[in-house]
Amino acid sequence: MKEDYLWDKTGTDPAIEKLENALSAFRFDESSLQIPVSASAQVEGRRYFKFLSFGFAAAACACVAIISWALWAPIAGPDTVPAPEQAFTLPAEETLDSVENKPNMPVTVGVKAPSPSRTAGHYKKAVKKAVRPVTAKVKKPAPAAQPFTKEEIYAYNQLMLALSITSDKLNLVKEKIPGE
Amino acid sequence: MPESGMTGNILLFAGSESVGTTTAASEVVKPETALVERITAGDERAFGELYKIYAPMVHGIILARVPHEEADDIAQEVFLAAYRNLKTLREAAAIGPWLGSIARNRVVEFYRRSRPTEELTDHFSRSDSPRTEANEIMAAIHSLPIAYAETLVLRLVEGMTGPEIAEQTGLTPESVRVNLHRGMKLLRQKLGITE
Amino acid sequence: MTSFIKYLSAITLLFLAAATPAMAQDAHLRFERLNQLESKARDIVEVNIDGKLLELAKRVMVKVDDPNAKKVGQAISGLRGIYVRVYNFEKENEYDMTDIDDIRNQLQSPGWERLANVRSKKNNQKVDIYTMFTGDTMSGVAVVVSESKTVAFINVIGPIDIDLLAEMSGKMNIPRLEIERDPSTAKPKN
Repeated sequence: MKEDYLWDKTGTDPAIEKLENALSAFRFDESSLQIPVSASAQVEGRRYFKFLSFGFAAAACACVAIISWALWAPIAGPDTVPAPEQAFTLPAEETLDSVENKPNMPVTVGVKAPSPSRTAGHYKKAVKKAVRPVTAKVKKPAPAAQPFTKEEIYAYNQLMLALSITSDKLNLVKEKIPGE
Repeated sequence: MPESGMTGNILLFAGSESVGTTTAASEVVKPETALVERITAGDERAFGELYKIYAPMVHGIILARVPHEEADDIAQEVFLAAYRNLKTLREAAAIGPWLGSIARNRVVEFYRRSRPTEELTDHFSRSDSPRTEANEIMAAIHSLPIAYAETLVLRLVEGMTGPEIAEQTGLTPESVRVNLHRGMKLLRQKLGITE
Repeated sequence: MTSFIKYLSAITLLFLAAATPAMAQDAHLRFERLNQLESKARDIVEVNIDGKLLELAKRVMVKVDDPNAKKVGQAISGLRGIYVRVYNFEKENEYDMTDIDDIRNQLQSPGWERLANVRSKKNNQKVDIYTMFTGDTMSGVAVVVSESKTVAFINVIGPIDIDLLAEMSGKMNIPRLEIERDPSTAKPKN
């Protein structure tokens, strides 16, 4: 019997079993929580560790970036990647005005690619990054107000139903009071 | 406005009677009672055992109210608070409802701390979360009355049976059965599942 | 200072522990025991709105461009939950008054005060309105209506403007928002 499966898992109910399988992703996972035995130290330690690990990660990224730049910069010649301040200049034939008239057209800025002979093998990645087309962000006009979501509509209709019933019942008393 | 802890009280109100009746009628000491006594005596391993028994219930109660990515942290806070304050529990047999009460109150605090826009966006998984089937189902469960949502999460997500839910939360089996049955009916309607 | 915080935490948690087994006074009515009415009714209207659902609905109410919606929004600005049960019966007096005694008994508990009542021979109508106050703030409203073919219970949590809401009766022609129907969705069963 279906209801038995819902109550105490006897019998079968394919629909409920399907829900259970889908929702198992959210089930409590014992390994994900730590038993807070030495309560304050554990939690504080976890929070501190999170901060510390973030700090280390940030520092590591910075080091890699600096080292990469330091090693790559002398190899790159003047004809490869332009200075950063030049990389985002729009081509002469297109201005922001013309772009704003075509809100759906992305503006891409091209950068002259370096010649292969100038690029050492293990610095290809850094160079590719620098010549990747960049889409400039164009300010679009504010979109029209989004329609309500299904959940909002459902909630609103339910509330109005409840309030109209309440209002009618309250009015039963109000209309009977003399002088009102 | 975050859901008030008072909404959860309707469950506690039903639960208190069953706990009192069970304790008065039975001379058998529940294993949880013995665990609580061991913990208050300083046995930390006993707390680990208690944690294993009640963590799914606590997690489920929280999950019925908050986005799933927040549930673990709040559950951790609940057990932390429970560990620190177990001595204030007047009736050891009421450990389950007591933990449930802490969980619900922690959720209220969580929403007081978080910004309303973030809360609602995360809750219905509208913006950045992928629209997986699980998220859709959870969104539907979250839109149900909290009594139904909580019981359904304990049953469908945490895998607890009806009798287990009644025993741990302190609700009467009849209340749990009603919540499951009605909640599932509403959930089927929302998800378009035919019976 | 540290000992003061510890003291405060202990008091707070003592309250938490006490709140669980204690019969905390709150404005929620328990509808679980209305099975008898359910089994006899021809149709039932059940609406439960609280928490996030209520928050969503209030947001829509603010955005909907309708003066009546704004008024209603005013009347319910402090609302935290509303629960409605309406049971309609095929024939007159198909239900027993004892079926609704459970609700009436709950309204006899401390905190609830009867605000108004109406008795009318027409349709054997009885209407009772109860309120609960916490200090100076209204914390709940309960309305119980019984007629020969209908029983209705309304439980409101939080303060509402009863007068304003009663005034809106018949004026709730606030546009109903349509949900785009998904063909795969089964019709809800009554």
